[in-house]
Amino acid sequence: MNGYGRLFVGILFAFVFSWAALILVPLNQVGNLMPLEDQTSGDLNPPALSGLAKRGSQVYAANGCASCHTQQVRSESGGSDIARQWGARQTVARDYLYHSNPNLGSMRLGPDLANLGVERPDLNVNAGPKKKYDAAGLHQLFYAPRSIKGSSHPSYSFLYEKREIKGANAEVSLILPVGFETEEGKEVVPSEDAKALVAYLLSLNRMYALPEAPVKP
Amino acid sequence: MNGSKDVQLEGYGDENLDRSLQGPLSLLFVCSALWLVVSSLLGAVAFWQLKFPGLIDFKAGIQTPYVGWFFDFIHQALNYGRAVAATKSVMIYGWLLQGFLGVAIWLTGRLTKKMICKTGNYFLLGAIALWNIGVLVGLMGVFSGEASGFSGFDFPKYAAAILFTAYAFIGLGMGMRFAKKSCSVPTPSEWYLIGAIFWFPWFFGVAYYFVFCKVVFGVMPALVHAWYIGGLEVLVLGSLAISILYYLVPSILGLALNRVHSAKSAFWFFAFLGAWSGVRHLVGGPLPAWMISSSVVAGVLLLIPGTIIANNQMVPLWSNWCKVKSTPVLWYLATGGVSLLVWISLEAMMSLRGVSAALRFSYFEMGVSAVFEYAFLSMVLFGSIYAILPTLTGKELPCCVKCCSKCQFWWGFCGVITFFTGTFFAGTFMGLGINFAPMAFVATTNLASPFFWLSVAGGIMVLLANLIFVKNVVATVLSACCESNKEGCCS
Ligand code: HEC
Repeated sequence: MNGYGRLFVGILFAFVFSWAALILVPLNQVGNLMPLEDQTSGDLNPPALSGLAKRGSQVYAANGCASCHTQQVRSESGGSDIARQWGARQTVARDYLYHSNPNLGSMRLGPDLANLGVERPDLNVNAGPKKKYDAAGLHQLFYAPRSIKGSSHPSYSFLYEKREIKGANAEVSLILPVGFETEEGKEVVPSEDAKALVAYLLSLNRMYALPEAPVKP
Repeated sequence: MNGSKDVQLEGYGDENLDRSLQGPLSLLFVCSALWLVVSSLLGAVAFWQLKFPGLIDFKAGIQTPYVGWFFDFIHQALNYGRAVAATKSVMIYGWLLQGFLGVAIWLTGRLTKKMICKTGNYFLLGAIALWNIGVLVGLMGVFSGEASGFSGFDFPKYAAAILFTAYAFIGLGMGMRFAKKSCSVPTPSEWYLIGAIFWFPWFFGVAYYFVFCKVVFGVMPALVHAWYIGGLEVLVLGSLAISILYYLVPSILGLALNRVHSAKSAFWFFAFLGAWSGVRHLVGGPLPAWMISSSVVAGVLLLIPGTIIANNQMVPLWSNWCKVKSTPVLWYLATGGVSLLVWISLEAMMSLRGVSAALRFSYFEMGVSAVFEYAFLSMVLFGSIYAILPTLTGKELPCCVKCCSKCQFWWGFCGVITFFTGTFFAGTFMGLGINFAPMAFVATTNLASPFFWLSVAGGIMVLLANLIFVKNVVATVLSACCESNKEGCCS
């Protein structure tokens, strides 16, 4: 084998070595994780994602929400995530079991969303009463962010349709605050994508305890 | 090993060989320069939205039936998240990877001394066209909401498949020419070049399988993505840049590479540590601790080969400072060589726990990728393209181009430093604010504000430099075309 042959073998080896250790080994380690049963309630943790939420996860990915939001709570030594009440414990591999894209995120221009589905601190004051989002609140944030105090959120109004009211208001039409209402005789309804996105966000809950990540009292 | 003899180069000799590549490579460099500008414009649109979140949300104002859909499309396609994904992907696949593939094709010709036959040339042209179609299709995919959501691998499945096919032709062509090379010992330039030619499809293939084929769920796709980005950054783009540095620096200075022994061990360190270092991007994330720690260690150790490589470039440059001062191409290459080391140090620093607690996820991330993508890779690529273009056309660069290339250097150089400084302070203040839990989240954004404008200023300078660059490349290619037309032999 000449110098080029040896070079090729070395190059191949460098690749295979890292592939085996960083892909193949973890594939057996984290690829085979199973949900666990909660001893007291009998629920399976993490809970499975609904079909709508799975689709919502794709809407989330496609709109690059991950370029401003993370979905990972770091341990207490790794940052202030827990002190900020973004979660009760560090997130671990098992938490993402049902996600085809865990949307871990690369920047935090907005808050972490790993536990958006449960009560969370107010972003404007931090301390004080917590709030819990519902579908209407999220739709308002995405359709008309400027109607929320202190928000500089990008608008996703293209995920909504403004249309003439025919008959009664559709039950899903948005309730917008004073000053942001649509014209007389029109209503705003979320598209399938918007509904999926909201279902996905509301399903985000990693507050349950896992043996590898106990919740500190 | 007596590699030092192999590195002796005949300056810009091999006329016919270089000129046989004129057609394909002119096309390639023009396209990649255009993608660079597209990427910077997209980046500007994204960045402005951080301060003016309603910038492109026309829905409130404009309701005209015929143009309404157009503004709606703009809003959909260019909102921050999609614009960022588009910026990053166009930067990587349109500009950096394509540009470096062009450099690699040229370098393969130089190193193997093998001409491409006429059919080979047509294949190459086709592959380059296909690559650009892939980037365009991918960009449209991102715009229309089909991005994968994995930063740096955002293009949808079909676009990634087109890119892979296009690469297969280009890569096979290069690989075959090296396979035909019979005797002799590979030179430093060849180690990195051959490495990158093979590593790219391997890393890309694995990432494609795990991200698009949905075979496993959970953190695996994110892990593979981090691993792929590490491989792409260090082993593919980094290797290609180092490869051309090892060729151009000595050949322009008329020297032989004298430090070949340490260079060889540096290469193997670089290969093994580089392949291992990607996962550190997930520090603090939901993965087994051993993976992240070992990857962080690999990233820190990467400083050793990084220092040797940068040293190999800088020592000859330093001792020929007069020549460097009068040769703009070397300004670019020298900046790139130093930035390589700066980038490795920054990444190593970012992966340390204490630092990452505050700086990870902040604006500082943007600064670090600017050092990598612009100060290191783009600078090397600018320099290489300015060095390669005259060998393709067989004429010196037109005067105005030479002049403008100096101007471009200073705009780009000062721009990237300003941008980095801005993001450094913006990121540090915002990161410390977020890390200080009693502070309200919304208030942390204000901490970054003044420095944010500094990075905007840097971004504008860089954009200007990029515009000069595209003008230069187009002018050079056009002037060569006109002249060969006049002679009546448009080849
Ligand atoms: C430009 C960056 C940016 C992008 C892109 C972005 N967000 Fe946000 N997001 C923010 C900021 C900043 C906040 C903080 C509050 C505010 O300004 O409204 C926030 C807040 C939120 C909140 C409320 C969190 C809380 O704790 O109250 C949710 C939910 C949310 N974003 C979801 C999304 C979704 C879903 C997407 C993608 C469709 C998205 N964001 C895209 C910046 C962004």
